[in-house]
Amino acid sequence: MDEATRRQLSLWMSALAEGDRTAFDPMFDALWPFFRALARKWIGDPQEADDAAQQALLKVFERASEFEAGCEALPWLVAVVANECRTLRQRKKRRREEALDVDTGTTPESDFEAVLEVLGHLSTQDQIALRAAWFGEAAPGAPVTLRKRLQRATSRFRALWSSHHDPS
Amino acid sequence: MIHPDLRQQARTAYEHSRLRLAGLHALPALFPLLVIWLSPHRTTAQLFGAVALFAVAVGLVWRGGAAARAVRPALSAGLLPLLLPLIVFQSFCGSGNCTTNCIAACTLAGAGAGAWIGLQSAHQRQRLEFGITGGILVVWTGALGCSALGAVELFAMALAFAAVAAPLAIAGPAVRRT
Repeated sequence: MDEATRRQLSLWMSALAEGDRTAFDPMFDALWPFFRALARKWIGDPQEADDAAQQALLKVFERASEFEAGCEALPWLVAVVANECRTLRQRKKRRREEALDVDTGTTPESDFEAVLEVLGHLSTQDQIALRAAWFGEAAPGAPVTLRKRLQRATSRFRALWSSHHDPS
Repeated sequence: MIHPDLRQQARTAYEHSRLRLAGLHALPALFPLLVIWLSPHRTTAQLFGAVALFAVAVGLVWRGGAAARAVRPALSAGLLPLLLPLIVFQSFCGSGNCTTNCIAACTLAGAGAGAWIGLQSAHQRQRLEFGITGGILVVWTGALGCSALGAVELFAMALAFAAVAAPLAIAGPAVRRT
């Protein structure tokens, strides 16, 4: 992006922050292709990138009134897109991890064995908590204590699973 | 997938955020309403005036521009002509000399608010819009206090405000930034 466009973006953002609606359309027309290109570069998948760009665009206009007039807009705009892309990637990763939930009963046998293998690396207390939740096995302790223990065990399991199967 | 109404969604998001900002910036306009509400001599007209002041302040900030920038300083400056006459009225009007003291209080408060807005206007790019909006809001806020005392007090406050604010705003240095 050249210097003139950068300056123009800052002027438009300052105008929007001041409530000048005439800056809306040119700003929208300049931002949409720019955001889409950035998101496609970072995410790869065009459809997901468009979703991220769309969310980022809405966020920019939602927060345009908070922009400090006279500041450089480009770093802030890029940060908004980057943040949306990161959020989308994290959501995708979480969905992948949730797909491993054995409660659904859809986990293939090989995955089930992998779950058991990772489970074996956890402490006995964590194993008891997770087995009670997943396989309905008996576990000693009050329900509140068990729930807290299960939360901690689940996060430890996720971390261990990520290090075993998803190093990225 | 690209939403066909993305432009409209973005515009709605922008307008909503401006409205939120306006509500936040106009919050000081609720203080005159509180003062009037707590005053033992309040009238319905004063209450309506205070509510309308809040609505106008929200509208101005939502619209934006120099008028929006004038809202906060004007509401702060307006507290002087709002509170001083009320204090003077409650302190001195039991012992005679009411009219003289109240006119003096309104004039002094108007001049003080005028000095504040005049100095603020001098540093603005669109000082005319800023000054006029600020002036209207100050006189409006002040009128909520001074109008309870009488028309002469109200007029004295407005006149003192204009007499001090206008020269200060005009004599201020030119602001180059556009």
